[in-house]
Amino acid sequence: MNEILIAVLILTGVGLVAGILLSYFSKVFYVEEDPRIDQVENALPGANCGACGLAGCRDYAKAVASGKDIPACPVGGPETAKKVADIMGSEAGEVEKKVALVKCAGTTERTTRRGQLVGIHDCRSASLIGGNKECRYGCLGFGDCNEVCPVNAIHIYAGGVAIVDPDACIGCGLCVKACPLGIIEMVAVSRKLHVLCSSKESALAVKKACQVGCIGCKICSRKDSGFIVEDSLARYEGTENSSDAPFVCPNNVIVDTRVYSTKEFIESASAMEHFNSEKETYKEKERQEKAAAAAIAAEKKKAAAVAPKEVAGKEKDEVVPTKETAQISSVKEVDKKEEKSDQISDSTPVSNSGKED
Amino acid sequence: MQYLLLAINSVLIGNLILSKFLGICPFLGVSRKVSTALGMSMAVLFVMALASTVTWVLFYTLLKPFGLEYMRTIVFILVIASLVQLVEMVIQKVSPVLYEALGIYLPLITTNCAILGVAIDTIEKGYNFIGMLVYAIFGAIGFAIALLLFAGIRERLETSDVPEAFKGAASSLIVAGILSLAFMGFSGLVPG
Repeated sequence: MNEILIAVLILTGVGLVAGILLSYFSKVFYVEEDPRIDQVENALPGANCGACGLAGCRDYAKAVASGKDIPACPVGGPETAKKVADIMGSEAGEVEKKVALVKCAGTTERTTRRGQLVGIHDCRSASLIGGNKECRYGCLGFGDCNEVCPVNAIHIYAGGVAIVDPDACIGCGLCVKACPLGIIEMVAVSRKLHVLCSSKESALAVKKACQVGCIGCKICSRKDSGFIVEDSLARYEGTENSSDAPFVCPNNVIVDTRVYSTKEFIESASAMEHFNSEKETYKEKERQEKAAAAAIAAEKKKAAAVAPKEVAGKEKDEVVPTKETAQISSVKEVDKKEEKSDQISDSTPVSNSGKED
Repeated sequence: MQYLLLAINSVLIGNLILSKFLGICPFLGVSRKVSTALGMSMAVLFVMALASTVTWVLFYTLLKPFGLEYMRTIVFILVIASLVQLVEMVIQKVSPVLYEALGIYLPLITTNCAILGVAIDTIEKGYNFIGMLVYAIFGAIGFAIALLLFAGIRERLETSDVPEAFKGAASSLIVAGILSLAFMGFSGLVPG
């Protein structure tokens, strides 16, 4: 008992003496530092992630205080930039907070496998032999990104695809470097539409490998010009964030993060069901709108056609009636919009054409 | 005579880095430039002499009388950590340039096993006070020689045409191995 007491006392004593001496000498050897360094450091997120390119938040603060022109802290976002700027008495540069996004939705059941992977189970090794998925751009799901994430914002759920939790992500970008396939991207938080695919393969190869791959059909770019299709792969760079865009994609590759989180969109069957029913509704509406638009156009054409009808030649007469039948049918549609457009367009032409004749 | 032999022994034959493999971290970390290597060596020399003295005194006045020899590692770590803090403050005040140059490696002296290794070694080998001082100072000089040699070679490597596969760390480690091999040649210098 005594021995333990002595041991504890001596260790505590040595520690105490060392502590007292240190605090004394820290006063003696106090170095005048720019007080702004401390202020800036306090304003920073303090994650010491190194995303700014410096060794840590302290180094960043020093660099800022010494007047170096360095990019704003990518983690802190505009708030931090403003705070830092206030301390330094300068203008804050515009900085938009970015979070990581794994651009792949190819869960196990949606993708074709090349075979069983035997060997070291990490993405780096797996990517050397081309991965275990048919798609070369498909998330391997061994979690190299998760490994480097300082805040544990990346998870791999049942689908075997890495998914970033955008609320937890601090935007350090380490996972982007860690991913051997390069399918993680930093995206601005204001961007709500994302193409969850990285495959630059041709449409045929994508179809073979994955049910949810981008085939580069460009339908989305017609809906929202913010979509850019290159190398048979779409990406979104617009600011419009058209909420209809996800519905036009034939392979359901586009997620609208205002409606579903990426996790729900990739993992949850009920979310998919919901999305599909929404898509159906949208398609229905679109069909009706198209019909309505066609009807209005027809109306105009008819009005225009009535006047020169007498002048028109025989050949034209033959064509006009058939066209008009369709047009008339769509006019009716507008009147009873509740009715199914299919039925109308299917049934009416017959009767109409009869009338016309 | 006895101390001279001890000095030669600790500089060349029992070189801390190249034959005892202590302090590899700064050996590889701050050997990019001769100037920073010199700064690091001086910091290590200072800390090593100071730490060994303090730990030696502590051991023989405090630990041994109370029969607490088994506690030496933890007490030494405590002492060394505090000393490094102190050295850091002093250097920051006296030479900000050196402070900048050493950067992260200065606090890393805390975990430099060469320091703790020497402190424990002096106790293990039962040196008296002067023996301990000679061992610590010349041990640090041996550390400095190895570090400076290595830094000099690396500076040259930087500008020479190294095959792609050997660039950077690979060639550095090979050089370290060859350097260690060369120091093995001193082993017959002191008989016994």
